[in-house]
Amino acid sequence: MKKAMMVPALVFIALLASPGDAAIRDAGVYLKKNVVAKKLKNGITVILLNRGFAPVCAFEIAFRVGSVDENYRTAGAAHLLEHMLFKGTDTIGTTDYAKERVIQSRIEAVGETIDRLKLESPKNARLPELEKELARLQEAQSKFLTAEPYDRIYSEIGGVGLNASTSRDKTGYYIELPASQMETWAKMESERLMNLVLREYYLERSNVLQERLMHYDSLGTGLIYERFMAEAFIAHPYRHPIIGWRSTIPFLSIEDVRAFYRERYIPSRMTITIVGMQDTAKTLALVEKYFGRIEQRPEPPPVTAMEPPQMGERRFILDFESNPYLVIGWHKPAFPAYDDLVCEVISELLTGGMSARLNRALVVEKKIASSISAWNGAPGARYDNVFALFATPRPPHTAEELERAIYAEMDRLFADVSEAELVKVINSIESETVFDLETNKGLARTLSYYQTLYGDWTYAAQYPEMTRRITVQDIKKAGARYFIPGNRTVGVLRDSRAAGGAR
Amino acid sequence: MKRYALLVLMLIAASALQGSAGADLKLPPVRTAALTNGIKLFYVQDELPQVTVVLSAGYGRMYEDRESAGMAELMAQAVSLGGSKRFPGTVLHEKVDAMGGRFSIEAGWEHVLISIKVLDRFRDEALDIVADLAANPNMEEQYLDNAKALVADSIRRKYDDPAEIAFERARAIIFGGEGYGSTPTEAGVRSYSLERVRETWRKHFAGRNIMIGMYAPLGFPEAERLCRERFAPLPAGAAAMYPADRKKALDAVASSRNKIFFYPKDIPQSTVVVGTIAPDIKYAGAYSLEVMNYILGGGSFSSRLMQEIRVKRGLAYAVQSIMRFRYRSGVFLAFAQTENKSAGEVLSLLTGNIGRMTAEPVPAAEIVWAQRAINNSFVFQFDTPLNILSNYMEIAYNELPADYYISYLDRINAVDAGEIMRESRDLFSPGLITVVVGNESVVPELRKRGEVVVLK
Repeated sequence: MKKAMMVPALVFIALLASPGDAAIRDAGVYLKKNVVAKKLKNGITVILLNRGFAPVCAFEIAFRVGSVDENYRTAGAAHLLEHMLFKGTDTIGTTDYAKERVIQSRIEAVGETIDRLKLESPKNARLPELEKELARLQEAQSKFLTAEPYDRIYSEIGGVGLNASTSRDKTGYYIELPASQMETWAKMESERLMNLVLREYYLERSNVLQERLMHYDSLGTGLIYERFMAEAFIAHPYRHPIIGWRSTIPFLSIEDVRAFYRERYIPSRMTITIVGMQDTAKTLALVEKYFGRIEQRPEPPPVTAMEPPQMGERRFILDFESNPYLVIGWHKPAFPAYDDLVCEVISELLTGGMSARLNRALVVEKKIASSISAWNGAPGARYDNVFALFATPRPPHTAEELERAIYAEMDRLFADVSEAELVKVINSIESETVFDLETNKGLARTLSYYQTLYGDWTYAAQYPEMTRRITVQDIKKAGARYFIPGNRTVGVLRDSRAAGGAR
Repeated sequence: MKRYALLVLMLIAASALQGSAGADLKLPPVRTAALTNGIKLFYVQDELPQVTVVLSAGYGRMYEDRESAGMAELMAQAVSLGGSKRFPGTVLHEKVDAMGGRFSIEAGWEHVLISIKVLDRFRDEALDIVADLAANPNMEEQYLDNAKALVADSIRRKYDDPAEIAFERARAIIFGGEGYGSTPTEAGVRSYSLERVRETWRKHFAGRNIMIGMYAPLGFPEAERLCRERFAPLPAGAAAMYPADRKKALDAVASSRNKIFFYPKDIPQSTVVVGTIAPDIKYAGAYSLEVMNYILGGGSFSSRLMQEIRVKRGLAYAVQSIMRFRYRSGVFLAFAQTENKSAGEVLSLLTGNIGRMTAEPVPAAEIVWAQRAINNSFVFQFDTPLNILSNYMEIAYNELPADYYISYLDRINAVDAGEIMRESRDLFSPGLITVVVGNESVVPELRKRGEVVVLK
C-alpha cells in the first residue's frame, strides 16, 4: 500500500513540553476551576475539561436510563437497545435505505409473529417456514448493509475503547479519539440518537443470549449475584438482571425496544462529557450544532415501586459446578444521603486495603477467606440499595464458618472503631480523587456519573470533604441501624460436585 | 544470558508525535539513568501531586517449567503478605493504607512488578518501601504457607471459569508445560521450599535484572538522587532470561493438528480455542502478522471472525483472535464462546477463516482499514505518563532499536497482501491446537471434525 493513501501518519518531531510548570495541588480545586458545564436549550447537560499533553479526548454520552426503568415484560430492553445503537441509522451503515426499509419492515413483522407463535407453542406448524423466511429476509437485507458501521468508521479514524455499558441506573457510550475527530464524533453520535434503525435485531438478540450464557449461566459467581439481587429486592425493579432473564431475552419485542428508545433516550436525561485536549468554547459550539437538534420529549413515568422493609433475614443456597462463594447484603439509603457516605466509610474500614478489618483478620491472620470485597451501593445508586460483601471461603473452611467470622469482625468494628482508622479512610478517599485525574477516560467517567445520576458533577470535587464529616459515632449508629440480622440477605454458592449427586 | 541494550533514548525523549489532527503531541521527556549496579531508571515529570513507582524484575511465567510452575505467582504473593525486613507484614499494609496508597506485587509473563502510587507528600516513604521489598523481602515460613494456600485456591477457582480453562490448556499443549505453557498445580506450588523461593527472589531482584519506572511532580535530578540513595545498594547480580524451544512447540502443534482436546464441564455454553506458537518480537514478519491478526480477529467488530460468527450468524458474544510477540517467543490464540449446540459450527468458522488467510490474498480495502486504524490510534500509546514509561521499558527489556516506535508505522504501512499470505502460511502451516470446554453433548459434533481427546 502506498503511503499517500494513508490518513496522515504519526511522525516524530523534536519538541519538548514542561508539564511541571502547571502542577496541580488539589484535585477538587482543580476540577472546580477548570470544568466547563452548560445545559443546552433542549435540556442536555454538557461537561468539558481541557487537559493533558496529547491531542486526544475521551467522550462519554450517558443517559439516566437503565434496567431499573424496565418492567417484567421489558427486562433486558435497556441492554439490548445499547447493543442496537451500534447498528447504524438511515444514513450510516446502509447503501440504500429506501430499499432496505421495505425489507426491514417485513423482518419486523415476521420476527414479531415468530415470537408470538413460539410463546403460544414452540411446536406451532408455521414456525419452520416463518424462520426460513426470516433467514431469507436477513440475507436480502445484508446486501445493503455495512456491518457494524460505528466500529468500522471509528476504528479507521483512530478510535480506541469504543464501547457502551448498561447498568441498573445508567447507559453510557464511550470512545477515545484524536481531538481532531471531534466533529465526526458529534455527527455520528447525534445521528444515532435521532435516526436509529433497529436492523439485525434478531441476530443481536441471539448474541445477547450468548452473552448471558457467558456471564451468568456458565459461571457460579454470575448466577449467585443474579439470584442474590432477586432475593434482596422483592418489589423494586433492582431485582431484574440488567441483561434480562434467560426466558425473557428470546421474546424481547422490537416494538418494546423501540418504544424504550423513544421514551427514555431524552435530552433531559442525557449528559455529554468530553475530557482531553480541546478548546472548550469551540467544543461547546460543535456540541450545540449537532446535539441541539435533538428535540425535547416529555419525562417518562417514574419508577413507583418501593422496596418494603425487609422484616427478617432472607437466605438461599445455589448449587452449581463451582467453588463455594458467599454474598451478604444489608439494605441502606442511596447517595447523596449522609448514611450512604457513612456506609462508604464502613466499606473502606472493612475491605479497603490489606490492613482493613476483614482482610487483615480473615485473609491474613485467621486464614478463613481467600478474598473479601465490599460494594456500598449494589446493584445501583439511583434508589435505596444494598451494602454487599462478596467472600470466597478458603478450604477447609466453609461458607458458613466464614459468614460467622465476618459477623464477629463487624461486631468488633462497630464496638471499637477508632478516629485513627477514619483518618486512614479519608486519606484513601483523598488519594483516589487525585489518582482519578490520571486518565481522560477515568475522569470523564467520574464526572459523567455524578452528573447523570444526581444532576451535579461537583460531587466529584466535594466527595473527600463530604466524607471528612463522618465520625466514630456515625459508624456505630449505622451498625445498629442497618447491619442487623433482620435487614440482611445471605446467599451461599455450594459446589454441586461436593455432594456427589446425592439427594 | 540477556544483556540490556544501550539505548539511545534521547532521540525519542526529545520527540513529539504529530497526530492525524496535525496538532502537536508534546510528550513530556523521558529521562533515563543507569545506576552503578545496572538498574535502569526511567522518569517522567508529571503535573499531578502523586508519585508512582514501578520496579520491574525480569521473571514470570515465561521463566517457569514443569518443576517451577507457579513460582512467580507464589513468590509475589509471599512477599506481598510478608513485606520486608523494615516493613514486615501488617506494618507494610498499615503503612500503605494509612497513606491512602495503592500497592501491589504481581507476577506477569515476563516481569514481577512492585508498584506503589501515593500522594506526593508520601514519596520518600513509597520509595523506602519499594527499595526495602526488593532488597530485603521478609520471606518467612508463615507468610509462605499463607501464600501457598491463597495461590492453591486461585488455581482451583480458575477451573470455575471455562475461558480460563480453555486458554490455559491450549497454551500448555502448545508449549509442553513450559514458559507460555506453564501450568501451576496445587501440589506443585505447595512443594516449593522456603529456601528455593528466597533464592528465586534473590537471583531475579538484582540490579542488572531490574528496571524502575517513575513519574512524579519533581525534577529529574531530585528523582534520580532519591532513587540512587535507595536502590544503589542492591547487588548487581546478572540479567536473567528464559529458555524457549521453538522446535519443540512446533512439533507439539504438528502432532496434535487433527485432534480436538475436550474438557468436559456441565455448563450450557462451550468455549472453543485454537492456537499455535508465534514468532518473537524481533521477527521481521511480525508487522505483517500484526496487520493480519487485526483483520482476522483483533480489530474488534469489523474483524472477520467477529463478522462471520457474531454479526452475521448471532452465534457468540465473545469472539477474538490474539497475537502476542514477546522477547523469545509468541503465541496466537483465537476463541469464541457459543451455545453447546453450535460449538462444532463455530470451530469450523474459526479454522475456516484462519485458513482463508493462508489461501487467499486479503483485499486491499481490508489492509488499508487495518493500517489506518493502527496509524490513527498510535497516539494512544503515548497519552499518559504510565503509557510512555511502559513503552520505554518494553524497548529496553526487548532490546529493540531506539527508533522502534519511530519506524513502527512505516513498517506497518509497508505490509502488503503478499506478505500477509506468506507470513500466515508460515504461522499456520504446522497446524492448530484445538481445545473445547463444554457439555459432553458437543462431542458428536466435534468427532465430525477430528479425533476427540478427553482432558481430565
